[in-house]
Amino acid sequence: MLAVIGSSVAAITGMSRLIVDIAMYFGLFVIVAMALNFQYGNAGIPNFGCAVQVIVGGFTVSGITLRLAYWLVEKAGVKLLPYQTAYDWLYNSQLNVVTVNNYLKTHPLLGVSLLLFSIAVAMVLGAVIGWVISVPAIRLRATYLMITLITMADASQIFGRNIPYICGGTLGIWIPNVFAWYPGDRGVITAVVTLAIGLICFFIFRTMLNSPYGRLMRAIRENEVTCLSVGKNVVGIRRNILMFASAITAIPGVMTAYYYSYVVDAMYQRAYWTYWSWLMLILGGPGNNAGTFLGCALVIAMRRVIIVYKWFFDKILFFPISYFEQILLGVLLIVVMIFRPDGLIPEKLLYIPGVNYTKLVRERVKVDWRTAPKMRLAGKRRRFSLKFWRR
Amino acid sequence: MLLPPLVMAAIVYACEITILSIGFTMTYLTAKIPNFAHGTYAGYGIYVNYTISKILGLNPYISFPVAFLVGGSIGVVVYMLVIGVLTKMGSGAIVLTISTIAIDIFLTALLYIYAYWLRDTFKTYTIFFILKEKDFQLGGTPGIFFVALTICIVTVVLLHTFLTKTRLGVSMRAVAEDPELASVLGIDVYRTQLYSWFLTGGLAALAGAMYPMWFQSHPAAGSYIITSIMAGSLLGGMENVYGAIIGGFGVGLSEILLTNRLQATFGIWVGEYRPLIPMFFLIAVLLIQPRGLQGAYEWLTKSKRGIELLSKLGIKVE
Amino acid sequence: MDMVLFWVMVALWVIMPAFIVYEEIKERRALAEIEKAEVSEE
Repeated sequence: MLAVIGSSVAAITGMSRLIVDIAMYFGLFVIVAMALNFQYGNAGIPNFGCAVQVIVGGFTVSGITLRLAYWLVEKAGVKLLPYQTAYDWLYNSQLNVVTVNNYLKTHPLLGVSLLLFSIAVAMVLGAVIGWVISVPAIRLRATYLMITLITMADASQIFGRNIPYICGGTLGIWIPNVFAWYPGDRGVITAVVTLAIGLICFFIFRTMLNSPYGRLMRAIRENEVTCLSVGKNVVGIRRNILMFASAITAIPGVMTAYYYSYVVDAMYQRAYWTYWSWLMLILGGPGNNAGTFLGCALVIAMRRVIIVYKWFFDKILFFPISYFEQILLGVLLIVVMIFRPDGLIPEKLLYIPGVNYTKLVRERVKVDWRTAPKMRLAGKRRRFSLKFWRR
Repeated sequence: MLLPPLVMAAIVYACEITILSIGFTMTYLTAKIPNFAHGTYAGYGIYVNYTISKILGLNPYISFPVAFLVGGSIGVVVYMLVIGVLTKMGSGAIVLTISTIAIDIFLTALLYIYAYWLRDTFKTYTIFFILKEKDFQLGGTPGIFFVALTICIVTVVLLHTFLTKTRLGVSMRAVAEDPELASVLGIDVYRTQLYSWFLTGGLAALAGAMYPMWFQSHPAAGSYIITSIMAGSLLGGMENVYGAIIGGFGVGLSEILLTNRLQATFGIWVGEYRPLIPMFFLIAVLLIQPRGLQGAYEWLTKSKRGIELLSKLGIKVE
Repeated sequence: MDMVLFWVMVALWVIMPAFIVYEEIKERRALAEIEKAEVSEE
């Protein structure tokens, strides 16, 4: 049974599998990183709890879509093993899923509609989580907000681990293959769908960031008091931003669940979804989408290369690879912070053509007004130099 | 046994969390950032204790001063290489906090590697261990109970005298409040920061060295308790060290005792939710009164609404 | 059939950022030109 399910993942072997894998991971992380860029790079909200947004997507698939699929399949007359109690839910899930897969092979419309349903519900639930996250974001700033969000992400993982009805507790639960009707390889089509969603999200984000709404977000990030005095509802705007970004971040959670055909809380660990996404964001440059791209591509290429050359590393290093990856993660974050605090592609400076800034101010200040958005750090930001340690 | 083992476990745990919270609050006062790597210093203390007691076969209590030195030096290195550089570059609080998270990841990975190296070289289990059998017994009670309590009280008293009476302590507090003014007065800000990071790192490692004597430890145990540490500091208020004592004891005691009480009431499954208790404290404190218990006390006694609330409850305050 | 779709998607994801990068460089160069013009006219 396991072989039947497992073999559907490895239908394409060799180099193609690696490329599809890289593409899938890139698609997932680029959506998360773009949403993070939306929150931190443009609105100044350091959301270190994006793991909870992704978890919501995964839990939607395992908690809601799965039950819906079971119910529909049973109504169509196919016999399923009992799944009402928690015990049966877990232990019969594999066989049930195989039955559902066989049913889905002949009903492509049902499969596609299940996928769309789970994405829609995940977005709604993601928005709800975004609302919950925005409650502390009203009163707290910066570091306190980070503490709260990290704590919330950890708490959600604990809930997921201990309640079997959501995703099978510590054992995990199997997910039917919504692309069973597709004659080709399941991994490829999932990667294609993820990348397509990523494209759509990219264009949505790009439009939002280049619009007056983007300007408003950046204004709030720079100087909140001014915006309040002008009359903008800063709290409501922050809440909208968080809800929107959370909804988008739930989608990679859904697609991960369908890619692996399996949901378990250990897949959504804090380190995996939060820290690597932040590394991609900071490496590429918070504030513009091109930087996020670059950061994603670099980090994912690095990780996959490490995994492919695992045999080489195992010879010279005596510890498992995952800790080496963690060391790289920590070191890269620090190095980027020190040497390129703006990221590899720094944020474009705001310039409104036609406005003569010198005439606007009439002050003999030795400040380059083109750097207006970065004013609060003018004169205080210095480059790294070895002179720091000279006494 | 003096007290039921549960109460003793709670007191030992609370002592360790208190010492860690004191260090965390001190780091927050000095560097204005929450240091997410604080728990990992404790992790290093755990492994120093393990190395000395299991590998070298000595008395585990020798490892306490060694752990202090090791933790202190790690703190100093962290400051010199990362935090100091970033502060001189004028980075904001968010960037510094992200860097402490990165340091946390880095140090935990190093600790895992060290544990694996120990396991490969010495062929013993290094991932889940407890060192209770190496302890001495005082009338049937494990010695760590008295030692932990004594160390906690002695640390608090010593810290109080150090921070208020000695020159170095006073300059530490001055640098924490206003670095520029302190440097005008002639205090070497860089060296004072080095000392304070040494002190906090050492204290954290000391608490970590006490940990495996009673509780099961693994390399990530340090980062596992960072939530409790932050909850303890925030509960007491991040304004001075004495709040950390109250908060640390509150969170430490309640985490174990409350879990036990809830397990008695609801069933054994509550035990899995134990990390939720400090998280709950943390979120409640940050949402209701970010200044912790000290802020709540001041709000109750000094602000208008607080005084109204108190008078409604019948408590007289002049 | 699926690999065709896949490579189409990959091609899209390679072309699109290249195009956006090209536009960004053009924009930044234009900004630098305006800045040079304004500084020299002061």
